[in-house]
Amino acid sequence: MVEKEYFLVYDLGTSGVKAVLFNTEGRAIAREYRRYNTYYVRPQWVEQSPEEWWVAVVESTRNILRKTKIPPEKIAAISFSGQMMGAVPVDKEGNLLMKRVIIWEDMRAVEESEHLEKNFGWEEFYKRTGSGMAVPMYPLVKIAWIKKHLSEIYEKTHKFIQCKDYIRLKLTGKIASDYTDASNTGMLNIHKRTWDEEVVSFMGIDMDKLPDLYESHDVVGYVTDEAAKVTGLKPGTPVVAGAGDVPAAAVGAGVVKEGISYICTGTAFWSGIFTNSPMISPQYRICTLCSMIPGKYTPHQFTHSGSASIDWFIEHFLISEKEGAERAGISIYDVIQIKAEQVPIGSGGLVFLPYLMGGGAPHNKSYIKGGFLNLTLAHRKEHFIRAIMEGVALTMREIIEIFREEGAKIELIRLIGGSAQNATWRKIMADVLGVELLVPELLQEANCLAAAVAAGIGVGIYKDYSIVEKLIRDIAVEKPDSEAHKIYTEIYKVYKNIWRTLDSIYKQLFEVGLKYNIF
Amino acid sequence: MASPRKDEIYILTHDLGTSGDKAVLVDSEGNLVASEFRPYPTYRPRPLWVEQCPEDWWVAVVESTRNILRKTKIPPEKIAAISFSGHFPGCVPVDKEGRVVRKYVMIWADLRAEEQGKKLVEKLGGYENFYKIHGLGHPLGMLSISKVMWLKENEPEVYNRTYKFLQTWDYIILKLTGKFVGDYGGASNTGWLDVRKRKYSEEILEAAGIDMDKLPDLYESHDVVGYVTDEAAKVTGLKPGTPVVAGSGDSICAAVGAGVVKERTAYCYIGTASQLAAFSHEPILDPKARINNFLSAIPGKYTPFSYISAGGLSVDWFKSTFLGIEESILSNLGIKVLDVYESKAREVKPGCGGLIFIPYIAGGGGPHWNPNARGAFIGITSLHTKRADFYRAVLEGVAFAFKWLVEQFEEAGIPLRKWGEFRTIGGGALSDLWVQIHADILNMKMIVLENPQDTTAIGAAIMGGIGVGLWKSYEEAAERVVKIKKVVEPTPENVEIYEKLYELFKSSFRNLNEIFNKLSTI
Repeated sequence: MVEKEYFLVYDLGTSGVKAVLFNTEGRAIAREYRRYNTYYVRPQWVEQSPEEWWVAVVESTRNILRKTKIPPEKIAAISFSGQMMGAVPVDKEGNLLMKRVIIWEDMRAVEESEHLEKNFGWEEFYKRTGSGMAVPMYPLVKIAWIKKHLSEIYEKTHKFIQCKDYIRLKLTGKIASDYTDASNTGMLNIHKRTWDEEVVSFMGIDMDKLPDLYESHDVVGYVTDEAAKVTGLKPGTPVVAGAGDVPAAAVGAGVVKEGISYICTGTAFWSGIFTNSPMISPQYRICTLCSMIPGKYTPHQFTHSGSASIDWFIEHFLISEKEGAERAGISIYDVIQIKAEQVPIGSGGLVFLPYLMGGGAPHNKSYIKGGFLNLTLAHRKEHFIRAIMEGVALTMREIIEIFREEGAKIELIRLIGGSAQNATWRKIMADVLGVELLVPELLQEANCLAAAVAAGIGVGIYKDYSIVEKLIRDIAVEKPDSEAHKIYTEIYKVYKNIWRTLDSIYKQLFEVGLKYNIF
Repeated sequence: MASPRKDEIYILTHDLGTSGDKAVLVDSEGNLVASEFRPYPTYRPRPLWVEQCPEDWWVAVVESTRNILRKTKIPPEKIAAISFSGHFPGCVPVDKEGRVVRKYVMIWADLRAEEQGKKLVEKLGGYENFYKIHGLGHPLGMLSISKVMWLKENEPEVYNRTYKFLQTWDYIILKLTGKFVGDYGGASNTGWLDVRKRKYSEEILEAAGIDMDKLPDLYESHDVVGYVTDEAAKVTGLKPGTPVVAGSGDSICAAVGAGVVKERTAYCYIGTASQLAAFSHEPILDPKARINNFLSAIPGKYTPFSYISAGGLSVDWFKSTFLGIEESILSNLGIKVLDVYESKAREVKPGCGGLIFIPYIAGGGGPHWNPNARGAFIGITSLHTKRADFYRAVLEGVAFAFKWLVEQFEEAGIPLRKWGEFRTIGGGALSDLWVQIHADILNMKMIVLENPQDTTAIGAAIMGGIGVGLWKSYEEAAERVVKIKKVVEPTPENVEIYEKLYELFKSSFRNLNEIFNKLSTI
């Protein structure tokens, strides 16, 4: 008998798919990335082509098998981490009903959202589903939009599924979804872990168009002969349900029991914790998702512009520096790190508000936008760079404090994502938060590790999710400096009230902007 | 510049600015014939301390005078009068022999004497009592009187050896003529003048503990106060006996040079600071408005004045902070980076996609005078906020802050918008876009003057010309000399949106003020 040594994980992101091969020690031994397109059809309309997802999956699979020369029969199981909040309509035979589908970024369902918020009541919706993000993002209203505007497609639809579910369908022929993804659709009753009939039918959606739900580690099906032929995988390879990318990142960062939290430092920054019951806070709109661990929860809060804030600044204010750095053979991110380090704590008084997309935690008010405050003649570009890092870190502290206010214990924070590599930013975060930050080896692939663990549990190689604590290898510890923390705490006390002080201004600015069409 | 004519007579003016001396030669029609600039250093030995060396001023004046005579080849006897404009309020301590007692003197920007100012206010029984006599809204530390109090307290030997405390240009007059004099306009920006009575206030000087003897006799700006001595003639190349008039402070000269010499006239100076001055028969002594009531060069009249510190300074800061590299690349190509950004900003819609700039990056100015005030950009989004939006927001923010000064004047009884127009001067007047933004935000006509950066020189020249009988009155001189370049009307479709945004500008500042005050304590 062949030793089953590997798990194949597909990380289906917004810009492409990454196939990652894990061994049973939790080591990622090979990766293959394939891009796919995003179509910005018109303002607020954002679509992707599931056929392109599948082509990218096929190509990355064939390549990873070819390059590693690993025999496909050594793959014990296949699993997923996928982008969430989409709406992929398929018929009974599993045929795709829209060439291009609505993805998470799409915000077209404004009218449907207003209807829900007004007539069902936002708070009632939130209390049932735990879904605290901007309502137009949720599949609930996206499906209602499809029903209204593309009624033929709606009628033909057998099930609305998510991105990873579509790939699983292509691999196994089975139509299904999992609890973590379902908990981010605005349709799952978060307390009962069943589709919420009241919310769903209020929006005129038929309950039977929603897929059956599985645990992330449940083996949903097996690679079909047909799929095996195109991908090079072995027919019959078990395929588990997998998880949405955010709940997967939480587990991959070790958030598998109370007291452990994580911060993901990507384009957006977010933080999540582990709880035994949903954390419902209409004031802070905390998003409670189902954890990959059956029956458990993982409340999250998001700030949309994390490294996106730095990237925005680079794009508009550091164009020449970026070119210069490239000519000198270094990355602009190294330049930024050094520049920020030269500036003292507090950035000479300069304060940054990171709400560059509008909204996000802690207020989740889309009319509240970004800002630089307390400017003086002494502020140079490097002050702005550090102020951005500090502003995002202070916002993360607000998030952590809100979790605490809602009863969470946070003893340890693990930092993942690309910006965890930025030593200056990492230091700032530790000093602002006043908590030790652990930095694992797999900064970019914590979600993949969690998906691999689900695969391992599914085929009986691992017993349960606690194995993840053994598989994570921390490579650095960032300890807060108590003096710096003291200063940041003084700043934080002022900072946390700034958006409140400016709330009415931002609201009026937004209204004036709409009225006079200045945007 | 016009070219010199043989039979013409000229007035030589020196504008002693913060960065250097600019000598300008003006003919009897008010044409600028030649100019020469000589920089001098500013010293900042400690926070709040800002000093210059009067000897540097004199060297700059000597060099610029010699150069202007050499380059134009105008015989010195053709110079009918010498006149001055200068930065103020300062305090130049000189002894009986005319020597400076302290090598480095405090200039206007020096704010070390805030405590002394507060003590004075306390002795006078509150700011209102002080204000209704001296009529100045500046931060207390800026006033000459606080500065002299500081000297008396901290360097009593300097105070004791001082024969007279002079203003910047008074010192140059002393070097040229040997006379210790002051002018009414200059004295009206010190804190020790009773602005209604046009004389030194015994009450204030007593409270401050300053001897009135240590202050110079006061003259009208156009009074001939002396003549170039043989000794001064030797070093400068001027003719001995050339008449020298008293001149005045830069804002007072600018008012004359902008033609703010009759009813219903006011200027908008878009320079490093952004300034507003108007013509008035009476001082405007509303302690809430805290307007600065300068004495006009026209005897018995007033020039109410207010400002924010960072007008053009905001643009300079933006350029050096965010466009520094581009500036050096483009300058090699012979292109000015701000010309590029002016045209980019023209493409940005009014309101900059919901971005507001609060321009108090050099601390508070009128009308709020909060020393903790700072700048801000609010309403940034990653979707549509580009560098050009920031640039335009800076131009708009300065104009919003100017509108606030306008409102302050109106509340105090000067109906500027009823007058309907501003004489527009300063370097910012050269930017068509910025002038248009001012017109749209103020909903007023902006009358852009010729040579908008030399208005102080033109004003000083008018004082000199009147002093030697070239013109009979300020009104007549202004009629002849002050020239309009163009008139910029508001764009009707932008007026309404800017009105809404202006209200938001003000409420943003009010809300931010709370944050600024809290942050200032960290």
